Amino acid sequence: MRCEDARPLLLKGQHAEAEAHLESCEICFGWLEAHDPIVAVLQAARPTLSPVPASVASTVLARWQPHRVSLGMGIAAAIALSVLGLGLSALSILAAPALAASFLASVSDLAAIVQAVAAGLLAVPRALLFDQPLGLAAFTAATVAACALWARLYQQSQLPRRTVS
Amino acid sequence: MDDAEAIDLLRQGDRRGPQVLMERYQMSVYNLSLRMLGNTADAEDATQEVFFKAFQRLEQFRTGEPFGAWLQGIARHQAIDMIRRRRTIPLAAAEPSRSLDVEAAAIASLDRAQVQAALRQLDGREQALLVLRYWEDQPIELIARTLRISEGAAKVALLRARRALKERLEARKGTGRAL
Repeated sequence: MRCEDARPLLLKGQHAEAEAHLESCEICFGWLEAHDPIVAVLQAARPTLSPVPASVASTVLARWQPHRVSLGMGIAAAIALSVLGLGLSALSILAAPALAASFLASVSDLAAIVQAVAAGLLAVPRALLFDQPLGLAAFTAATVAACALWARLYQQSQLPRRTVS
Repeated sequence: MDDAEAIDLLRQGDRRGPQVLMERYQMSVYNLSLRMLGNTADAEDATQEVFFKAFQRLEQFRTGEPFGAWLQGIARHQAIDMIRRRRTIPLAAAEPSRSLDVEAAAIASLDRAQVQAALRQLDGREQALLVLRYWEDQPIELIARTLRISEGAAKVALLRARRALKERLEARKGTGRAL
């Protein structure tokens, strides 16, 4: 359908073929808008700007909760816990030295047990890796590759994403 | 403080960030919502939801693009969603006028309040089309994307919406209904 045939049909009312022409014709779309008196009426009826109620901002800010704890707060918390731990340790040693000594001896015995178990567990991989340079090299290469992949994935997660709206 | 700095503060959990962004953009978001939804209560709810969603989904914001434009996109979709959830009761349309000259003269004599009232009587989607095109001056491709239809379908829908508004206005003029 040609533009000059479609336009009078579109002005009169609904017409399937004329509307199909309009869907793909930018010129007819612009012509119809320019010749439709309702467009100017609508534009003249545009409402003036209204002030925003004060409750909008206060409601949003009351609902908003930051997701993350800041790095500074995290460091401060770590320092505070360390100081608390050291303080309690010092207090227990000063207040009850015998009890503290007994506790430390138990910890030392436990550490010796853990060390023996770890040595046993590591004996096999130690033999495999240190006695086999190729094995050690392969293990090192795999570790480096895993670290590189992790770094790449982390970098990608920090890139700006497409907006979704 | 520019938008980038305010957004950084927002990401760090500093309250000044969202405060600055709200002060800067709440006027445009609220008025867009008010024009599309037609009443202050819905516009308030929509504005709150827009900012809350924007602050929660900040990872979706593409750094370097205008924050205001991104916010306006969320606002348009929020208003459209709210319009879709409304139950509208369509009114009977009047008979269209036969003479274009008479019709144009009748429409031109209507005042702003009458036009706005007639607009609010339309179907939600028709309201959204006319508001976005003639009150918010949005291009047809953006309107089509907002309504999730093709550009061609948006052009035809816009023509039909103008026709529907014209019929409402002629009906008001014809009955001499006071506003």
